[in-house]
Amino acid sequence: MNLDFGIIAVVWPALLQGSLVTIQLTLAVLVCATPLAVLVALGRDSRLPAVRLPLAVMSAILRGIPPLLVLFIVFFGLPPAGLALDPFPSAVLAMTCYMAFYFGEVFRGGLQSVPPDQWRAADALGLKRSRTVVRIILPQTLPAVLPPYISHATEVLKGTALATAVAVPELTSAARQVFVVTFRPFEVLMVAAVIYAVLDGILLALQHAGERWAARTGTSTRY
Amino acid sequence: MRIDLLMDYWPAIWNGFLITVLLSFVVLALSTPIAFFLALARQSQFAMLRWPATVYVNVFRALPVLIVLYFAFYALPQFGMSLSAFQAATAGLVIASSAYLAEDIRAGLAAVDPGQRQAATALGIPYWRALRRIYLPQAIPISLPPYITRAIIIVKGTALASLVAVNDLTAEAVRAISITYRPYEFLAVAAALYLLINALLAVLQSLAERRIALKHGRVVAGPATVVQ
Amino acid sequence: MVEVRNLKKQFGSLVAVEDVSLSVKAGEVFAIIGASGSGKSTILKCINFLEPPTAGEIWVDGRRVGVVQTGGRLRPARASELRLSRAEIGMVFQNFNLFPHFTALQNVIEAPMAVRGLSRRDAVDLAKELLDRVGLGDKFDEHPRRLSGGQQQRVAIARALAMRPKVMLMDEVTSALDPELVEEVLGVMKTLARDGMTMLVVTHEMAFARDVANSVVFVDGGRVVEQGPPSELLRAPQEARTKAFLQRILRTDA
Repeated sequence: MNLDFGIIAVVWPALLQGSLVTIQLTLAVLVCATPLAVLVALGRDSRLPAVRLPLAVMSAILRGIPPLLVLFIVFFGLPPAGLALDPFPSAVLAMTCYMAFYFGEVFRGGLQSVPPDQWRAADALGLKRSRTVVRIILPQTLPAVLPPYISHATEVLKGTALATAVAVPELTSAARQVFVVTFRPFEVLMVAAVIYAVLDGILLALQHAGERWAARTGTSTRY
Repeated sequence: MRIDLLMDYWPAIWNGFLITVLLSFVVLALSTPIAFFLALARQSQFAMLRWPATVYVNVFRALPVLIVLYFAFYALPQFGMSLSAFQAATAGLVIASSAYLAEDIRAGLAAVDPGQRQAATALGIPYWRALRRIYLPQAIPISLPPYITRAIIIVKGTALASLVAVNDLTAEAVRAISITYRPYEFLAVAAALYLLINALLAVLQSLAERRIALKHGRVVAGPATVVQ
Repeated sequence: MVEVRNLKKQFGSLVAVEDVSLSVKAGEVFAIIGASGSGKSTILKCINFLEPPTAGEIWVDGRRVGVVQTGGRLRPARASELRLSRAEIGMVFQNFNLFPHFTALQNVIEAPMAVRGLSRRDAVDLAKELLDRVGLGDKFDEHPRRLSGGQQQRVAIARALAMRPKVMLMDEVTSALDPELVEEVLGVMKTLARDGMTMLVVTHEMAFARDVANSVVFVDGGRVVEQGPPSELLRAPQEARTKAFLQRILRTDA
């Protein structure tokens, strides 16, 4: 065995390019999935069965099948229905659907952590439902929601590696392209692993900051 | 719906399903004991055990599982270790899964009241005996629900093996689609089969929880109380 | 029977116990009193090395705990050696710490079988005798959650006694109990004292200290402030801090 980490000098532009796509993909999924997840969270505890039941079924299905399969469902399933997407948007769409239900559970837990009297108090003041949610309820869920939200965000980051299966040129895909040509899989994968670890570390640092913030806010709002 | 096409490809799909089941089973069977010892090592008073276990668990939970699979499939041959696709996928999935499971098991052990440890120590009960007789019987009911949740994630994760040339359920479905251009039939069948495995795990979970609840005499909600 | 010499215990930069020396004779009941956070429980936990002391010596029945002398040199005791020392020292906790998945009887027989190598039959005989003695002859097969706090604590006492300890450490054993259950546990402790068991008792029960203890120490800020027979220390304390503490306790007791 002879390792040659000098190879990095040659391959780093490709890996950097891949890292940028990974970051874009992660951010795109977070931006799309987060508001959707709030709707899912509200809808899953809705009083209307027509809203609640389909969401429960979709949640059970999406949480019971591999994320890779969800990706293939979007990638292979949409074109015959007349919706042909490029690899990047199909990956965003698939992961958004998948994560909306995972984040949805996080937000649901957060909503349930708000005392029901808060809803009643807002009703008593005559606030509109939408205003109650946005101004009264959601801000109060933040301390309970933020730490698990960020820890799920790392799942999004790691999950973007799947996009390699539908030829999105993200980091894992870039690494594979490179080591197939250079015959140096170990060295190239090590670099990719370090990049993932660094990105993960950034999210982790955010999580710790969020937990500290939540601990401060959480105690100060209680009585 | 083209049932006839489904029938043509059913043997291949069924084969892929069996590979997925086998892979899931082997991965869980191997990673559970490894995870158990990792969890114990992370609680050890000896830094020599604690540090490597902590690094292992944190590193492999930080990486995409696919990267770990690529290491096993593409990088090991560089060191003269050539594994079959199934072996490489197993190795990669076991390495990653044991890190995640270790964290769940550790959380269960940590949830046991520290007073139990003090009592066992004060009585002079040896570590392994206290673990077997006192800590584990209390930690297992706590660890079991997250363990099954993780097992379901691991089963879903075996689909990654299709990306390193294992002919599992996902791989066979994708192959059938690329030949027939009939995505819906095969995607639906694959999804249904994954749901079947995970539904079985969920049933197992509620059975186990019920058994534990019965054994510990807790009040069980739902139909179990009727059965009693 | 128990000698504590210049005991010091530090948690990080926090000094919990400083320069504590105690001497407990065989058959004596030795009460340690003090406010919560004064370090009195830490002293007990250092005696059986549940908390290894930062400095100082612990001697029980003429043997050093936690340190072994081999060929003129001292070394820390191995885990197995520490276990044997601990087996000689019974301990009862504030929160009972019974094993919740075991019955009362199983709680008592576990350690004699594991540590003393007793056969199950002998261990069960011993456990039944001890549970009888603490007044639980009809509760052998009950799990802890089916027992009252007072009953649980009596099982815990039987569990510690089953190791035939040379000394018993009692760490605020009545503090977690409802007031009406305190007396049944104190009663068992009084019986033990009458039977000649050596006991170190951390307690808030001043009446128990007064009536049963042979010696009382008042601990404050991790140090021994005052020590003497209960008739002197509790009735006519010399130190201002002892007086203040006793006044506070008596006021809340009344």
